[in-house]
Amino acid sequence: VTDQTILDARSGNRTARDQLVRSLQDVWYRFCLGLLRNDNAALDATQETALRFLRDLSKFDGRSSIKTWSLGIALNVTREMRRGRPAAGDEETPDREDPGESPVRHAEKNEAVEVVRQLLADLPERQREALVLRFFEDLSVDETAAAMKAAPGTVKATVHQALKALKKRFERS
Amino acid sequence: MSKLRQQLDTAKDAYTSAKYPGDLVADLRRREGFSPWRLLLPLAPFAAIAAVIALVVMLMPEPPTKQIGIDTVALNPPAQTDVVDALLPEAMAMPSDAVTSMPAETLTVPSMTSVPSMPTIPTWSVSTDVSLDESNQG
Repeated sequence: VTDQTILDARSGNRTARDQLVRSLQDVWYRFCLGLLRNDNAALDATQETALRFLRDLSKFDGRSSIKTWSLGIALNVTREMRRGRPAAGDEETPDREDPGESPVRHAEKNEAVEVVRQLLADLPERQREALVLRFFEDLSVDETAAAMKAAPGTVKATVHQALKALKKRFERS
Repeated sequence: MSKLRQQLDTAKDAYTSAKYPGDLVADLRRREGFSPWRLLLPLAPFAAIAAVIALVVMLMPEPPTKQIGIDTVALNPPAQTDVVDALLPEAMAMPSDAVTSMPAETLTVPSMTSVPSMPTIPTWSVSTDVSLDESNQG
């Protein structure tokens, strides 16, 4: 996605808007899935994120990347959805199987994913959000701070606390 | 590499491999296109037919009043002067000279000789250079 595409999308060009949404749909979906841990909820959250993204696109000022800015919207949507629904537990979506993967590798991977997922689920909400943005989305501290609307120092501290808690829980388990 | 790190990397691989199932743009169009009014869309032909029937009934001329019996009374009977004139014998017709004409009479309006003139109002002038004190002294 080029800057021109973003400009065109901001000025209402439908093709550019579609292109922008398609380029970000996977980012939004995996982020929502990572935080909500439920396929249907992640789908709803992704669509809601896209609607708000298109609605507020004219407010995008370019201070952060379009991906970071849109992840801020997705973060708000997932927070609202978490408040509106019971904590994820039995309704968690099982992992999809990769048909090209050996059963052993698949089981190991599933186990690792499940362990991390459970560890992440036990973290406080802010720590989990910071870790997903910083580690899984590979955002910088500043970008994570922009998405979370927090100070970079706060993000650093939150990520540090999250990793520390994760390590502690991992060793205990 | 620590075990936790390995686990995190594996989880990250799984995380990044997640893809939105389908086309979000198409899903948005479907979602935005939904309107409760669309539920009423199948009823539109029936509504149109009902409207046409109502229009035809409204524009249809009223059927003439049938004088079937004594009980049938026209509320607004049409003027029947032409019918009466046709049925009356000529002898009963009113002679044309029976109608008296209006006498030609000249109406004269008495004219007034003259309008009395208004009495003249005396004029006076106010001297502006006379002060109030001077006028009081005088």
